[in-house]
Amino acid sequence: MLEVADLSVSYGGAVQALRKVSLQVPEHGVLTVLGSNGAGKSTLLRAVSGTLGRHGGRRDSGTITVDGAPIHKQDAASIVRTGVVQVPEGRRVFGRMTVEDNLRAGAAAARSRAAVARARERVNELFPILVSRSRQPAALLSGGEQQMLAIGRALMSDPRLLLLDEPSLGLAPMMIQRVGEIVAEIHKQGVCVVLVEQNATMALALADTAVVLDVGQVSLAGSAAALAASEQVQRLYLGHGAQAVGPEVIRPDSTDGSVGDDGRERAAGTRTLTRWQP
Amino acid sequence: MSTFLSLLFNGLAVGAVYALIALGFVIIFRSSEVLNFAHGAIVLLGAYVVARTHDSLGFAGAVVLGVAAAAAMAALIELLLVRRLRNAPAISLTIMLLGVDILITTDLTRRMGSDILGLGHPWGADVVSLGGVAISANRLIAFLVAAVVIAGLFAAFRFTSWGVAMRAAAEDPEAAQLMGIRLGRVALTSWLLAGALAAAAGLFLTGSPTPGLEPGIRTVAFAAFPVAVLGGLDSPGGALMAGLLIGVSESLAAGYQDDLLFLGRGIGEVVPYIVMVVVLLIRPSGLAGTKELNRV
Repeated sequence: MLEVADLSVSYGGAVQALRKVSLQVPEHGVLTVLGSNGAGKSTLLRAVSGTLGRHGGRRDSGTITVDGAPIHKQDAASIVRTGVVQVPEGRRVFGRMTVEDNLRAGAAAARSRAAVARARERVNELFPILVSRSRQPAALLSGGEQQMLAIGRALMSDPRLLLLDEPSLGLAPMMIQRVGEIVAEIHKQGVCVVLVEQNATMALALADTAVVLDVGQVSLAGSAAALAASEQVQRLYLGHGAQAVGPEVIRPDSTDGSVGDDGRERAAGTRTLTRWQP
Repeated sequence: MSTFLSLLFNGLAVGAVYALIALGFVIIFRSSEVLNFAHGAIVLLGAYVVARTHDSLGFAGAVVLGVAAAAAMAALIELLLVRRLRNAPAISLTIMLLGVDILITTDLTRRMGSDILGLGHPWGADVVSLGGVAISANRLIAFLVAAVVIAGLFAAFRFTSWGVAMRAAAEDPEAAQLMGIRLGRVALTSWLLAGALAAAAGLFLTGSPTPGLEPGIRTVAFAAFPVAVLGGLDSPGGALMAGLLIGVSESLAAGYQDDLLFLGRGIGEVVPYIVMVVVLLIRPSGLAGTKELNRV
């Protein structure tokens, strides 16, 4: 479905945010991308959805293809029309517009009225709360409801691949679980998913495959189960030697000077993960 | 009393025309985040094309051509200049648009010379009586047309996919792009529409009781600038409110200027700016503007 090959991205022509990143999302697959703050997760999604330019970023090399067709030279709106839709970090609902109008905005790239009607039906089934709130301004919804709206809005264009950027961010544990259930349901309905998360427990439970990004490089990749069992992921993302743990995931120490999208170097401390052998 | 009512009607009519121009400012500001200082020139261009072609094409044909020319000029400014400089600081864009305004106006002024051109309004200088109050037919028609156009525009904002796309793009351009909204197309249609509105306004600003089209019309069109600022720049509803408020204040101040002589002659012309300053002192983001706005 989605294939990213040898993707390198820099910001401002100087700061390297991604270095030769390669990954695949198979047909009907769910891929989780783990990584600490500044590992390049959001940059990866920006590159796929065509919004790097807006952030001063540039693809230096590498390709991004959907079903074999390159999308890396297309603009963001055209990429949506290939069926790849991103739910941005921080939800980014249109707060001054009603829930209804947010969903209509989400249907901007829909192929036909019939497709919009079908998508709307699916969104109504998945998120009954949005039906009862349809006339309220989105800004008045709770954080969890806004996340539902952000996902529902993205589903309105009937995507084949949904990119979710930290959907659990800032949500209560109950709500995180609900978001997880919804992502699972959307996947069951045939939509591929790329899930970028710091909440590794939820993300690995949902995924078939996973990659760990570290300082802009893929440091680990494999099946989600294998990664969940790996000592490094357990130590960095699931807590020391833990089995599955609650929503409080221990994150790598951010005081070690981790590389951000702004690309400062970091100490090698958290870079001890085994290199990925493709 | 009848003087007051006459001034009030006149003020509402002129205010509605200001609102047409101010709505253009607002639509452009929302889609391109820039103040179109070339708007006065576009008003002038629309009226000029009608003035030059109404003899050969008839009034209706000339109006269609004038509106199309103004819309096309606005679209060209967007496509050739604003779009290419979209990452430039807002101040550079603003100064560039001032330059465009001067270029277009200078050329049109040269073409007009010292003539005052008629636009061939079929209603000429007719005066109608409305409940015993005399008002020029031009002003009455201006009010009615502006009311219909503005109502249509508000309905379009609210109900059409273009309106939804435009509001989404104005609120969060990146999120709008991620939903597949083509920002370039939204901006282009906004400029087209703003140009058409400017031409419609020019058509009525040059009618009775003003003598006709002369370059000074651009200054009158500039009164719509405080209207847009007063309304809140990003609020179409605010532009409408502010247009009516300024139209009425201007008309009353001009009508009663004999009683306001201590302020000097010609108070009507500065009233829009006085109202703007007073309102902004009380409500810094305008009557209905968004508080977070920070670009010029």
